[in-house]
Amino acid sequence: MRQYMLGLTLAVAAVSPALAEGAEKKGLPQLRFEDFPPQIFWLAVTFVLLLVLLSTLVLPKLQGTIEGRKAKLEGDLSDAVRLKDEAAAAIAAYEKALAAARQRANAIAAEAKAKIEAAAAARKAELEAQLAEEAKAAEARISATKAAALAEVRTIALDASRAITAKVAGIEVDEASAAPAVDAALARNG
Amino acid sequence: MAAGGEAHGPLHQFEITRLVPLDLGGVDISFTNSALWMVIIVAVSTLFFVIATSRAAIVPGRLQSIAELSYEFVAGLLRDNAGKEGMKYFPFVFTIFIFVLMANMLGMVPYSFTVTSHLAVTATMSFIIIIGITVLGIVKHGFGFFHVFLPSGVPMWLAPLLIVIEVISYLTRPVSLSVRLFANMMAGHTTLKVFASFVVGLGVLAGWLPLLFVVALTGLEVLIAFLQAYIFTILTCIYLNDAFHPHH
Repeated sequence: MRQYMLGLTLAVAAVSPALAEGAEKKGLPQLRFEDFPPQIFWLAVTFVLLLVLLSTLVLPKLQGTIEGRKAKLEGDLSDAVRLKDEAAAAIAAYEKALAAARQRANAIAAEAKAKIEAAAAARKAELEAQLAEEAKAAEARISATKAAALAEVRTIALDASRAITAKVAGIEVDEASAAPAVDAALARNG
Repeated sequence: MAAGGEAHGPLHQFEITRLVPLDLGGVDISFTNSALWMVIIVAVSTLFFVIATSRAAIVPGRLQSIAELSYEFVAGLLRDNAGKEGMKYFPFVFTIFIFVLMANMLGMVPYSFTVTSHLAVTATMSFIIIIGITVLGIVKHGFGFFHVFLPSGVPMWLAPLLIVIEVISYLTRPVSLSVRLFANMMAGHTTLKVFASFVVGLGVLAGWLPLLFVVALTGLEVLIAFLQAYIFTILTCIYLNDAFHPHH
């Protein structure tokens, strides 16, 4: 489209001398070759000047700024990563310590419980032993009393049998001869 | 744009006027209006970049951002198109970009002169770029540089035809590079001038319509001023790539 525009404007300029009027020289100013040398000379001078100025005053500084920023960003990022890792490590250590403390507390509680239970069990055993001993003593006493009572029963039975024999049969039976009969009777009746 | 109240044709803005006639061994090196604007380009660009980079802050301000943006823009172009080896020529490519961009942009200032609207300027730059790249390629690769004209894997019977085509396309590079820039700048400014003269010609009643058009075209021209600087720079990078990697 721009080529057509250029063509159009050039055509306008060519066919209407009224537009390219007055003191102006004929033809396209761009194609006046006598104007080329001064343009080329000053282009060379100014371009080299700009090249020297930019590459000495501007470009090293710009490059330094951009690279410095990049380095700073990367440094800050790695710092952030390092700090984050450190924080994670601290949290892990804290949780580990917390778990250890909890474990120790549990162990202490369990130990105390075991101690108390052991004491209670020992006391219980002691009491039971004491009670058993007392019961045994009581039983011994009971059986001694019973034996004594049974012995007395024999004496009473012997006396009673001699008295009954004397009253009923009028026979005086001495103690020695009555004894076997009484013993046999006692053994029969239990 | 009618300087001094005089009416001028649309091509008057491209006239070269000798401000200080100079002569060097029979060669005309007069200081012209074109030379004046080249000096202004150098002054404005250098001043801008020196001020913009004076603080060199970690968090850049507006000017510093623009300077860094242009630096990274050109560096990206060069790295993407010519690879790491091309970065050695970064100052040269950056200067080309800034010079052409500033010439195009300052050309948009009313009453100014557009340096890049002249074939003499664009052709000189283009020929120096292409010849420089060719010399660089031959120095770096010797005869191997001529692989540029024959891509590998092409059947031998195609070679004669292809080499001719590639040589022609290589030789037209400086022509297309220079004509594209100068023709774009010239066409844009001529069109602006033609429509601006319509504003005056049609007067208060109907002149508003071309005026609106001139406003819109000015916006377009600013875009084209940047775009042509970009195209000139990226083509330089692409051609530079041939000097480093002649084997396609």
